[in-house]
Amino acid sequence: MSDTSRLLADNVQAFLARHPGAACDETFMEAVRESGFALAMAPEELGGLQCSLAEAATVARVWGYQAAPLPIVELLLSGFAARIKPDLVLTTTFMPRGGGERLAAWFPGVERCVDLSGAGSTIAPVGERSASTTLATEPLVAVTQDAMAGSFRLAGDDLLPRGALLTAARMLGAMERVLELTVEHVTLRQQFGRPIARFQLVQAMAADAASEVAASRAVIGDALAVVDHGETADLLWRAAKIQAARAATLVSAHAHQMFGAIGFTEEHELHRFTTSLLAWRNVWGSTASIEKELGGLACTIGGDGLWGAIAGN
Amino acid sequence: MLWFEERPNVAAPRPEESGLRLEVRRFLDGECKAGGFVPRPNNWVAFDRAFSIRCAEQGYVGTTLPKQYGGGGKSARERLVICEEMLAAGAPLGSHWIADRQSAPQILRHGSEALRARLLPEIAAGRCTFAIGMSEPDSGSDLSSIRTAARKVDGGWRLDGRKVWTTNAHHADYMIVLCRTAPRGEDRYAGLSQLVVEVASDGVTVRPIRNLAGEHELNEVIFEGAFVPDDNLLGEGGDGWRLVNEELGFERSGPDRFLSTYPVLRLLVAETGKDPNRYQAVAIGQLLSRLLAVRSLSHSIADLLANGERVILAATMMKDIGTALEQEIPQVAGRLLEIHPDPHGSGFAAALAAALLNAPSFTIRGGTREILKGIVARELGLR
Ligand SMILES: Cc1cc2nc3c(=O)[nH]c(=O)nc-3n(C[C@H](O)[C@H](O)[C@H](O)COP(=O)(O)OP(=O)(O)OC[C@H]3O[C@@H](n4cnc5c(N)ncnc54)[C@H](O)[C@@H]3O)c2cc1C
Repeated sequence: MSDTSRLLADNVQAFLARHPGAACDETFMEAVRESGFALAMAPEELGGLQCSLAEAATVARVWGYQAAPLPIVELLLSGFAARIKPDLVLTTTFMPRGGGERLAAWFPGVERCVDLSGAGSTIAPVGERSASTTLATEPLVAVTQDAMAGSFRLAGDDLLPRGALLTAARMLGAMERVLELTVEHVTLRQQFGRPIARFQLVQAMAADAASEVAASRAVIGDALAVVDHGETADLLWRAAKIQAARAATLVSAHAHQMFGAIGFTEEHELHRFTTSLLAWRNVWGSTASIEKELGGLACTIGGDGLWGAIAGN
Repeated sequence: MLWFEERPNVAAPRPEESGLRLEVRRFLDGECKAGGFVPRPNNWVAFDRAFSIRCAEQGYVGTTLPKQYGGGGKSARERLVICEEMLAAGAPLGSHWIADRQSAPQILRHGSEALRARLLPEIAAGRCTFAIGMSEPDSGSDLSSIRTAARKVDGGWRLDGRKVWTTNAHHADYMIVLCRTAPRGEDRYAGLSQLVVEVASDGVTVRPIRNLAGEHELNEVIFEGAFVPDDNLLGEGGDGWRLVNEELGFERSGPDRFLSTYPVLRLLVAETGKDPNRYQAVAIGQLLSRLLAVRSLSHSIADLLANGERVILAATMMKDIGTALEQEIPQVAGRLLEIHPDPHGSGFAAALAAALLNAPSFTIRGGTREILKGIVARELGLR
């Protein structure tokens, strides 16, 4: 698995390097379609690579690391869902609005959407492209109540943990890049006649950010492995998504603090990572809702059984 | 590296080790029901020699020590499983914990053959308690400034000086003492050595220091010309700085750095019941997600060790965020339930009190949070 993942990481890096300045548009979408990455999780007979979730997560992680456009998580999942229903182009709802209206990530050609508002994963047609965007100006599409009438349910609840973990992996990649940029910046930037990395408060912020990234990497990796082994990861996938969200909050805030004013500009690349990170915290399940689910699961298991659920019976 | 490696030490239920987990759990359950112990947080400090001997009889002490020294000859992974189970159960591990965690590996790697043959079997039998002799009244974070000194005499060393904050020295048979064996010169890290000192020797005095919970865990240990035989020197002499850092590596990297207050989380979940309100569910979910994330980080250290890679960065980050979680658990638990912490009570109230009162020490002992962050920054290349 590791070898395939490494190769995949290299290929995605090379592909994205060939498309600098790509946008969420038909041109880039076409390139992604041709590259085959979007079908990473699709079965071979449908032209896919039949990748494991960990391998697909590698694609998402590199995507995040490069701040590349297009909702890669949804594209990857479309490939996964193709096992059940070919030609399903998925997006997901994540932003409840008033009047029962919800929003979902938009990309060229998107027709249907996984709705997470009810129990399980309902597939609904999408409506009009919305004037709203995410914090990172990613385009959105409206999913109306009417459209829900034409919805159907996908068998099993496989999509939700996968969507959450791929999102967490994408966030991890973005955070890893932010950490690199930050370490580079604080060692180069001089104030008071020395690199700001010499200041202990700066060191502590960098250390905290690094620890959050390391913890995220570890728990996301574990959750992916468990899902790929076909075991239930009820606690772990939720923990991974919550950890990624917690890390994203701290890493973005600390990075901006360490960059000073330059990081607050449109011109500087930092915001391409940090604003997305803030938005992705609440994609594929809002952080609070997943926390509530995880706590609820713990209480259902009960105090005496909890350790067994964590470590194994 | 932006891909996900296949890792042997995934922190998830693993069928191949469930036999061992269940076996340890059954043993602990039996102990608990028979009144052998009351589950408490921070219990890896609580001294109970008889309990440690019973653990050793099951092979739960000195697990990784070679069989020739009375050990179990088992893998680090098996030891991790046993340690996690004991910590999660809140069992009193204080009699053997320090010896098992850091003194035994230190003696195995750097001790003379005579010392290994004499002490390791005793440790593995759960009959031997060790203390850590690093801190002094004027040297805490800056260990290179210690003043306790040993001078060479016929057949050994004479030790003079004073150690402080020595956990369980009043129960300890031995103490690994960091001391100067050469005067401090240009290089402040040179001229330090580690000696294994028998606490019952002439010239060693142990005085109690009560902590803020009124417990007697800490001590001051005074050395007045105490004799330490040559065999009890670790390493070559003069290499004490490298040795003490290796010892700290063992001290800082284990599951006792995130599970010290797990018994409080367990009781919190039990007291909350099957029907938490939204606020309780969210708060418990936050704690549990953090626990799982830190645990994954902790298990990833085992992978690094197995591959012969440096563990200092991962281990230091784990201790920093793990001990922060240990402090957070009783704070959150105290907010969620309307139960007063009571040091003289039982169940949740007693566990909460013990956790709240001991919590300040979690981010001090074994290297303060600030020192840990400095190490992480250094590893990132910032200093
Ligand atoms: C419960 C408990 C058990 C212990 N058990 C043992 C034991 O068995 N054996 C043993 O040898 N020791 C033991 N210790 C001592 C422990 O290792 C020291 O307390 C610790 O290393 C800190 O030293 P200090 O208390 O002297 O604090 P100091 O070093 O004086 O630090 C005080 C404060 O200053 C900060 N500080 C110091 N230097 C720096 C710096 N360079 N940059 C930023 N901030 C800094 C610290 O982080 C801390 O916040 C124990 C301590 C406790 C609380």
